[in-house]
Amino acid sequence: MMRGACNHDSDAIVQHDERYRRWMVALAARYVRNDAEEVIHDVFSEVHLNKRTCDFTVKAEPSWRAYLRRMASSRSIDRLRARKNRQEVAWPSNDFDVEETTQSSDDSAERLEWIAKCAESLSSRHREAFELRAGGLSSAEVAERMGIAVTKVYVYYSEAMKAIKERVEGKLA
Amino acid sequence: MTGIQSLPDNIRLWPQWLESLIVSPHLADLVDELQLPPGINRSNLTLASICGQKLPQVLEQGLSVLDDQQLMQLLDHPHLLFDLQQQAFEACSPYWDQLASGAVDQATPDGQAMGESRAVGIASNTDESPTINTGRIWSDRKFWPLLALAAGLLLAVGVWLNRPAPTPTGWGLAKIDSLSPALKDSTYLQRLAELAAQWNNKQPTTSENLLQRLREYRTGCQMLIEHPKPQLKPEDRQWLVTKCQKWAGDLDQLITKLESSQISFDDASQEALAIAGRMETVLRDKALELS
Repeated sequence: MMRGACNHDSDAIVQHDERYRRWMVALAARYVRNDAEEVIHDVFSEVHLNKRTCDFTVKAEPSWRAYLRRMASSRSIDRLRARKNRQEVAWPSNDFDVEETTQSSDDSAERLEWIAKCAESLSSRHREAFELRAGGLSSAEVAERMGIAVTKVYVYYSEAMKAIKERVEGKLA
Repeated sequence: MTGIQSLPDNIRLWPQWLESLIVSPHLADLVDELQLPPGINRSNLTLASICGQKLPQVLEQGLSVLDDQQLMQLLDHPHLLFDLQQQAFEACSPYWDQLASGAVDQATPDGQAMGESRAVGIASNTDESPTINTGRIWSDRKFWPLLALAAGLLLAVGVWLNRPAPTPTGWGLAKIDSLSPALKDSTYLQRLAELAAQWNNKQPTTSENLLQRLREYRTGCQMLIEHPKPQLKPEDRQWLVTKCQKWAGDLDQLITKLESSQISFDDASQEALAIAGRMETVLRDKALELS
């Protein structure tokens, strides 16, 4: 099938894309969320046009997947950078590796200060869950300390994070 | 609902829930919800240190091989789920590939092949058929029509189980045909709960959008009522139909009120959310009861 894809056999290309598309979109969504489909469409176009893939055989499936994964990541990061250049991306992104390379320490200090201020406005349960988690306790430990189910800890924490993000984004906007 | 709000209360359901996120574009949303703010030190745990010797099994058979503690550690270090996503993709495992290809319902948590699980489904259905006493009854001619009927039914079940999978269209419960007939009853209800939760995937911004979405959701409800639901025992099938009829009635009422402007857009949105939430909860609770 892969050899067929390299030879621009249209059936093989369709099969190839169907086999990997959902995985690839899931991988790209880490960086570009709603643009993931579009990025992967571009990746596949590039892959099918790339003559170097023509010596791929089914035996090399793991390395083929590694190649596809790298393509998905690098093209997604390219897209993310292009978006950042247009200042379309606000803190926080889910990807620390990308974010941390572009944040100055001043920005981080300002954010931490704001996070602390914003946490003060949360309900007591939300603040407690947030502070204990951010303070380094595991969710199980937080659940035990607060006397609630661990599922509830995740919910409280995520709601607290959401509220804080909205406030921080409002401040930074 | 795809984020942490849909996290099942029963930790044994977490593997299935997490796996479905790992092969979807929604994993990033979950990581976003659970990550620690930038600037706060994270521990140095890695996927390998959490999973230990079970990592190869995870890549081969999914997350159900992990214990509760390990699952919680994964959620406490959500960025590691991205590592798992990458490794699962590169592992070339049929289990993960089936999940990613949308054939999730044809793979059992134990990683059984589709054919095997299907065979199990047929066997269990056969077991659930009314039992016929052996011995004298087989030689009694008056039972031959009954046997012929039973054979016909079995043939029909076989044809149903082996029919080509229809292409699922629509969203929510309208995708009921995408669920494998060989699913266990509890898994089937769990999947239905996930389909019902798809109401939360989009937030209508106008009354027209809301009406359209409500009608589509209502159609899914009707499809569920009319579906043969071979995954369920007769009493559970009846239970589900009764519940569905109730939800369908609630949706009809809401649609009528919205069409005649007896309810504001905001209130209708809230009510729709509440109905979908009830549906999801009831289905999940029943799944839990049967598991």
